[in-house]
Amino acid sequence: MRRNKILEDDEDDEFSNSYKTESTANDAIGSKFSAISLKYYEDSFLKLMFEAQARSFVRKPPIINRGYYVRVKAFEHIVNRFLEATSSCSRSQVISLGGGFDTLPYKLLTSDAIKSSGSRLKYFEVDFPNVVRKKAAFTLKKQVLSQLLPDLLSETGCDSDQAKQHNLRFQTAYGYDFGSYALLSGDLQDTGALSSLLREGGVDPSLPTLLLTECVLVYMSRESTQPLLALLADLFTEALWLSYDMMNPSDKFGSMMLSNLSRAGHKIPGFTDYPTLQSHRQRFLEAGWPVSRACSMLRAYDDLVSEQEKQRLNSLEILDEVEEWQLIMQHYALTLAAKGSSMLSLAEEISDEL
Amino acid sequence: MSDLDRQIEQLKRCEPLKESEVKALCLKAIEILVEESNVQRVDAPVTLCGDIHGQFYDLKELFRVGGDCPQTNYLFLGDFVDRGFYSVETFLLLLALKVRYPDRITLIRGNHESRQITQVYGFYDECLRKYGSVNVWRYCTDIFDYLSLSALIDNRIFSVHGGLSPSITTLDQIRTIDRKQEVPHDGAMCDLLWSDPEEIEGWGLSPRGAGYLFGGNVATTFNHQNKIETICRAHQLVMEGYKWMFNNQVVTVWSAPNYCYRCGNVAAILELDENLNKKFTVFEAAPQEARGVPSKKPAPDYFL
Repeated sequence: MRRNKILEDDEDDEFSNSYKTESTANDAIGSKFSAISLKYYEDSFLKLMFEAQARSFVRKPPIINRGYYVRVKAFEHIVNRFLEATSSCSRSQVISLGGGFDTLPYKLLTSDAIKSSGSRLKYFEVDFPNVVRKKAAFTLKKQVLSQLLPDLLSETGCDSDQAKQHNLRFQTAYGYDFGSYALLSGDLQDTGALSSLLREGGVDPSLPTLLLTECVLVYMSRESTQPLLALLADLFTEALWLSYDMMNPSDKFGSMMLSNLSRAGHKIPGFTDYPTLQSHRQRFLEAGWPVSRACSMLRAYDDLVSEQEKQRLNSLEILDEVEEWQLIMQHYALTLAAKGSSMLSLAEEISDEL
Repeated sequence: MSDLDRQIEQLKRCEPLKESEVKALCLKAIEILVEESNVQRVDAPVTLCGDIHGQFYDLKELFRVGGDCPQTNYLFLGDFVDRGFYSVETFLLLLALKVRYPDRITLIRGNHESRQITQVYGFYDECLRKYGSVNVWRYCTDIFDYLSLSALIDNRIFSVHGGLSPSITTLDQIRTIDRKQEVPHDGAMCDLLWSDPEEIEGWGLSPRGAGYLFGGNVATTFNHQNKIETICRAHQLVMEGYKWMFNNQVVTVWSAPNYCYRCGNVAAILELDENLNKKFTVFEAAPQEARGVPSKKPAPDYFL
């Protein structure tokens, strides 16, 4: 999800006009758009974010729609488990690394569950400066800001001048801070700078923390990944890390996948540096995370999605490519790593369900 | 050279026919297909081919390794269209060969030879893109309704796209199906095109949402009752191109190498000589240089 063309575009800060040509190149967003258009799941924020490009997105094949659905559901499920487990804590935080245009922070922070719960959640996103700027521009849209910060807008209303004022008001030395939601500009591969960015950007190492990397580490080599995992193991006392990555590059499907993705210009050293499910666990253990569990996304689908829900998916689109579905889903891993007693037991509980 | 021979040459270069030519070809094909039985008799020697799925250059590779039609007698087990980039050219070439050499090529229906499925898996969009209207899709899907449902080689090898049906115990029951319709969502005709063999006892629910899973004992009973040695079917990707099951009572043949340009599998065809001796020929995807102009086709989808 991380280093694709859309993210490298650095020309235009005006959100709605930014992606006319790049959007078709952005596979992850195009595919998620396809899945929500066919009602695999709902995401009003993604629709809003890319409403101007909606017509350029094409319908994806059923396995792609279903695969993105499972990925989104798996992340939501585990985020919810984290929130339940930390509901008695007065504060907790989620830190998403390299999430690009993920809409989870908006969905989560505007959900009834969060608004009605007494606990205070802060959601951080760390990404390249151009992504942070675009995401801030989106957050400052009236329809988004009014949901994220309802009190603010009822005070002041919001026209374009005020949007500019808001832009200044929320801007910080490190990115943007909207209270419950903060955007931090940084590079995950520069661990020295990242450490101070997190601390100075408002991350509290003593709080229970959920770290998210959704198809991000695969773009990094072992040399960049291990220091990042070690830095964050060192920084937090109670943390759970959820990662979604490619795996199994050596079998027939995997070597074709590697060759197709390389030919399409994707640099994915993590795919070959961490080839097996075991290596996905091992990298966390080596970096100082006491517990790590991993499973294939095929297993996540089989175990996390109820029979009733599977029937609903079958009614949305006929999935004829059963063998191909199993193949592609066996080439993606879902990994959990945990530190601190409460997170250790949470990781065990979640992995028992998988 | 007749118009038909010229059209075959054109299609072999992966150039689609004009809409009016497609219409005329389909009318001629109907005259031939309407006469065929639901259990079409085929004489050995014959070469059996599984799913093709619009992978035109891989079909040419298949003819290169299996021999040209009419020199080789072919039986294609369905799923000519969808998924690949060239469903139009693939199906029209096979259909033109059928019209030109009706006794040297047999085409039976796969589950993708259906109006509903082709709207999800690409053939509909491809017709619209290549012709600017859906007329060619209509002509072709009308032809699909006339395709036979199965074949019987020398009364000993039963060939079908998917598999067996709990509603069918004898070949005569298949012969009584009124096949000239869209593939139904359930029932005997649906099951023949959708079912899969599986290591279970009896029947099971199919993960595809149509057809059934059938176990080895089901195949044994069917083969015994109908005095058949082997059921030869396609429908499921097998990475090695073919796969025996149930003590050689069922074999799957898959003829789309590197399926969807993504799966990395090899393909196979099954050559039966006049004594029904079986020989599998395994082949790989056509090399890039055989695919004509370097294609700027989009890379296959993954999760990124």
